[in-house]
Amino acid sequence: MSDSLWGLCEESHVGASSRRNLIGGALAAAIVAWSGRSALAQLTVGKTHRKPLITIFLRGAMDGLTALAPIGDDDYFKNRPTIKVSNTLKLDGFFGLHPALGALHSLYLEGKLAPLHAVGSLDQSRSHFEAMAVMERGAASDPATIPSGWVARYLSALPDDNPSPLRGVAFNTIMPDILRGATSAMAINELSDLKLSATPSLRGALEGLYAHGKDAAAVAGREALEVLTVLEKLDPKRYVPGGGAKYPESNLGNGLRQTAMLLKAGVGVETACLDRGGWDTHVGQNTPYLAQQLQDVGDSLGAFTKDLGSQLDDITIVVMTEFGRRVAENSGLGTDHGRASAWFVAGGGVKGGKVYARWPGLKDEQLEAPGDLKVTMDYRDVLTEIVARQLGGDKAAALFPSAPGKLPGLFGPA
Amino acid sequence: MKRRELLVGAGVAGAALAGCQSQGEGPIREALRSVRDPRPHATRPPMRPIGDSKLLNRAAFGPSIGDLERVSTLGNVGWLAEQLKAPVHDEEESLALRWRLNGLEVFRTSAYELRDMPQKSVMEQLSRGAILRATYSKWQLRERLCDFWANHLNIYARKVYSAPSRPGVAAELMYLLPTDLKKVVRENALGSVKKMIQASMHSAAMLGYLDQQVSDARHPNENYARELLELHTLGVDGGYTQHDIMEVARCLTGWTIEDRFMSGWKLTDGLAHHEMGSAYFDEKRHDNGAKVVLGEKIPAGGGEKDAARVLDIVTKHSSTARFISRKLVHYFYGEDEHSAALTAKVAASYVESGGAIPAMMQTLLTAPEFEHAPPILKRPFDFTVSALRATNSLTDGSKGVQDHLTRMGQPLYEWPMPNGYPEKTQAWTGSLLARWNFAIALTAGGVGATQIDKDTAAALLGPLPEFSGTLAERLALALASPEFQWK
Repeated sequence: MSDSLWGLCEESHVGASSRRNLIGGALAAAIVAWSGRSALAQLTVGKTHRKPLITIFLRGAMDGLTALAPIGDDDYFKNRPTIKVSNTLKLDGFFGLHPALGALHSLYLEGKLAPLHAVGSLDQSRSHFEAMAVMERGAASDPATIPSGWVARYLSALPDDNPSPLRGVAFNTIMPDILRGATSAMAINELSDLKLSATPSLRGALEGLYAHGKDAAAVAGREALEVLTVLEKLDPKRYVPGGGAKYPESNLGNGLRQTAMLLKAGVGVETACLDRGGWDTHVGQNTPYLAQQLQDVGDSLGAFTKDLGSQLDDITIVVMTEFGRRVAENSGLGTDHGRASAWFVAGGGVKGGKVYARWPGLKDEQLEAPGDLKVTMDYRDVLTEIVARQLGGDKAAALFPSAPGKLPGLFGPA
Repeated sequence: MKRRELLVGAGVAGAALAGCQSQGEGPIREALRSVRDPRPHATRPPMRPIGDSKLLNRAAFGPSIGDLERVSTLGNVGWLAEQLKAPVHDEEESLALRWRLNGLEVFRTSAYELRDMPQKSVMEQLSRGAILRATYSKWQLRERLCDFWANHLNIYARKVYSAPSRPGVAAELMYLLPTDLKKVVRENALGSVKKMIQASMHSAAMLGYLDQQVSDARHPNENYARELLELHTLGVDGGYTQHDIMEVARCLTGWTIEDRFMSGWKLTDGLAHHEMGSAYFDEKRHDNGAKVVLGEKIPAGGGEKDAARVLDIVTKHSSTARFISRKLVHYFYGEDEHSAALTAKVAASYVESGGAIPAMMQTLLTAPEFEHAPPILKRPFDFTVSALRATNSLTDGSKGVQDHLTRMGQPLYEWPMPNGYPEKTQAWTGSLLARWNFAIALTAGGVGATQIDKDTAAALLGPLPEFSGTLAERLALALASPEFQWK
């Protein structure tokens, strides 16, 4: 059994005398693999005509009543005497954007941003993990019913004509559930970290070890080696964003900057999944903390859209969160776990400059016990419309089985 | 015997300080080695490659030359029996390991004094403690369980928590974390689930992490109550309702953190040293009304005993037996069509033993299923430590190793959410490139304050992949191979 331990099974039985042949064989295999990859690179670069989808998951339950405040609803002010947002940026008179979201306000005025309110899932657990698991899978309420991530399913529903290992990119230390089950997807921290400090011959030997295995590590290893070859052609340090865009020095800013770089390089990225944590504001919403969080999201997105320029017309961005927060402020001047929240959709084709909401109201009898904003827009209907742009309506609906199908009409009448 | 070792150690250290240089293989040099080098001393070369060491791969952080020898002397059953009786203290660890651990101030300094230490050093020392123990401790199963429980009761070290009733005063949780790791995790890793949860309910770090310290009768904060049920005991499908969460939150009101030092109070203001940064019960903040938790009535006027009632109710609940058993099975055995049956056996041990962790581990690790456990992809910490052990490395576990762990996606105590680092394969397949770079750096002598023992490594990892390069490169390939990512 130890002979097959290192994936060199057939050859290692031949004994020490033919070691040289064996090395020759491994090198030959490596050379084939190399030429195979350069063919791949040629095929991929600049050839995909897909409209890339960018997801930004605000993890920890972003307070939609702060980001997109219902200033036309008197009960908002009654429920939040201390932490209400009063100096909002004007949208439609009823809703106002938090003042830290100036960059999103500009996009809204340009008609490229659609704020959505009272969005959520059927999941009533008010558990971050349960609700995130639901939303990352595109499930109704029980995540166990669907093992794969909806972005992964989206990728596999698209025609199989893009061999890039970078079809799905997660700027994350680990692969998020949303991409679970995608084979051409990678989790990366920093593009510049993606290099192998090995001599060409050592790298060739490593490629040999990973050449044939069918286990998850071997499969992922082959993909990682392919990604390396693609990325070695790019230089993140010298990247100059377009339109004079300046990204915030934050994880999200950095992730979006690198996303833009990959999109412009045409390496076959079809979807990028980013995260921004730190929204679980059980305390201290009166402090500058939440405003700083929002500022980072707004400024990062502002820079990203500016950087991409006219390429933005082909891109759809969705900013999501697993649930909202309780309507009434608590004694720590924070808010506990609630139900519906606000989402944002931006990019080309979206009919922005308008808030999409079926407002349920904030009076006690209008709330979902124990005091939460009701979900009047199922998140799956939002996502269905977004993926339908690439997949068409039927395939899009199939990604989210049993979604209510009350489409908000974000991209105009079908 | 131990005292003599210590005396020799002190004498040698004195000699070293005085500038004495020993040449050759003398007794002094040998003694010096026992102080400096925490690696195991094996009397003979390893008998077998690591491929068939399922027990050491799962119940230890992979085979080391020392544990391979111990298993071959005692047998699997004997080794496990010894491991299940691990002490909670460090007295039986090697002198050299104790020497290194003693250098970590975070574990022997109170929160009050730790405040003066830079955050970077606190984080570095916390991680060093974990890496050193996992790599060199003779109580491997205990250290494995520490990894398990530290994730089960995860606390994000970089969270900033706010002081109750002191607006604008906040502090980093990391200063409270060493006490939690010692009093909650290590002292109970092989104890009872109930005692561990109890310790966690009274851990200032946990209370601060989940906002319990601001919860009071008028406005109970649900955060800790929820995770106590969802993640620490019953599990998300454990049969509790939103109403139960709110009732538990009411029971726990009043439990908060002694934080007066955060707003400038000093010892001279009448505070005892040990009180600083610890959890305590403030009766004035408690909701003393009657409650119903999971169908059990808790009468009014219970005061601080309400928390003890909650502890009783949740730890004797059958969902808790099942949930914790399922997590242990996933961690030590893996997931396949037999894991449900194994979970039921471990849960039965929980019920019979009243949540005794050694009884559950005994059932799990000696079950017939365990022999055929499905492969588990090592998490980065597991991969790193098993590589250090397989290469018989001498390391101090400091920045050199830690930077690699960060690049692999598992900087210790930095998982922000209370559910701990994920265990599923899919979460970690993206870290291969960073693992390869670690394998290459480690074997080439490029990891700070870390050196491998090539001969032992070649024996433990053999047969090495065929390659025309150096021995170091062949070792790198062995560690970087798909096979070494699994256990």
